[in-house]
Amino acid sequence: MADIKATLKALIIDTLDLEDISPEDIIDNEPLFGDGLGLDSIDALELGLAIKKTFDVKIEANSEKTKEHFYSIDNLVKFIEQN
Amino acid sequence: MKLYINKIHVWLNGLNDSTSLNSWANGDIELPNTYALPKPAYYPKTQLRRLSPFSRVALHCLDMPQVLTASLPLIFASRHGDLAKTVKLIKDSASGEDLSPTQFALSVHNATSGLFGIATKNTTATTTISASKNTFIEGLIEALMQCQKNHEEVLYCYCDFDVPDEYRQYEEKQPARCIALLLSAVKSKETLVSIDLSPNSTLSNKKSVQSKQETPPCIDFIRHMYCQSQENIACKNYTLSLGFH
Repeated sequence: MADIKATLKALIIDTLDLEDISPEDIIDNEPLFGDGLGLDSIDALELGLAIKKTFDVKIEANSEKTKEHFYSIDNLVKFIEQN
Repeated sequence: MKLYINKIHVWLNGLNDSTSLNSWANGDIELPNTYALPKPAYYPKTQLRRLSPFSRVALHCLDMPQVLTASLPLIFASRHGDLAKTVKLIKDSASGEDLSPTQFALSVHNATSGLFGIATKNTTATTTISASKNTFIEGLIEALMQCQKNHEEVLYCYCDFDVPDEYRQYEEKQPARCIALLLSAVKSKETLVSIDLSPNSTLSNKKSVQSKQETPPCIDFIRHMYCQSQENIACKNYTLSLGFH
C-alpha cells in the first residue's frame, strides 16, 4: 500500500510535469483536482492514461465512480488495489 | 506597399536582447549552440508545465509592453509548427500507444495562438499561416492586408524550430527562431522600422532549385534589422527592404 502510494505520487509529478512539487506536498486525503493540488480536466485524462499503463487497470470514462476514485491519493490507492 | 514596425521582440537560438542580436548581425559573434528556454512572465505558473519549447518561445516573444492587454488581432505563422510534438504523437500512434491527451490537445497549428488568447483574455480573431518556405513573408503579407483593411495595429508572430532528425533529409540544421512584431499600416511616432514590400514585376516561372542550405527569410530579415541594412532581402516573388526611423 505504501509502495503504491509512493509510485502514484511520483507518477503524478512525472506525468504532469509538476516541477515545483515534491511527493510530500501531495496530501493523501486532500482533493487532487480543483482546490487541493489544483489539477484540471486535461490532467485527469493524462493521469488516467498513465495509471492505466502503469497499474494495468481499466478506468471507465463517464462514470460517477471514476470521479470518486480520482478524488484523492487514498481513493486512488483503494481503487488500484481493488482492481 | 508599406508596413510599419512599432514594436519588435526577437528570440534567435537563445539570443534575446538587442545588444547580442546587433553583435550577431554584424558578424561579431556566432549564435549559441545551446539555449535555456524562456519563461513567458505573464503566463500562469501552473500552466507553464504544459508548454512545449516551441510554444514557450513564441509566447515569450509576444510579451511586449502594452501588447498583452491590448486585445489585438494576431497573425501566427510557422512553416512546420510544433513539429517535435507532432513527430512524438505520430510515433506513439504508429506503435499502438495511447496518445497523450495534453499533447494531442495542443498539437494543432493554431494551438500556440490559442494559448496566447487564453492567457491574455484576448477574444479577437487570430489567423494562422503555413506557406512552405515563404511562410515568414506570406504571414507578413497577411498582416499587411489586415492592417490596411481595419486601420489598426496587428500582432505578427513567426516561429520555427530546427526540424527533428526524422526530417533532416529535407532541411539542413537551422537555428530556432521567433520574431514578434507590432505592425501598423500608418507611420507614427512609435515607428521603429518601415518595411517596403513589393511584388516582383516578373514572376519567375523557373522552378526554383530545391536547396537545403538556403537561409530562412526570417533569419535574413532579423539580420538586416539588427545591422540596419537597407539592402533588398531576397525572397521569392517579393522584394523587401527596411527603412530605419
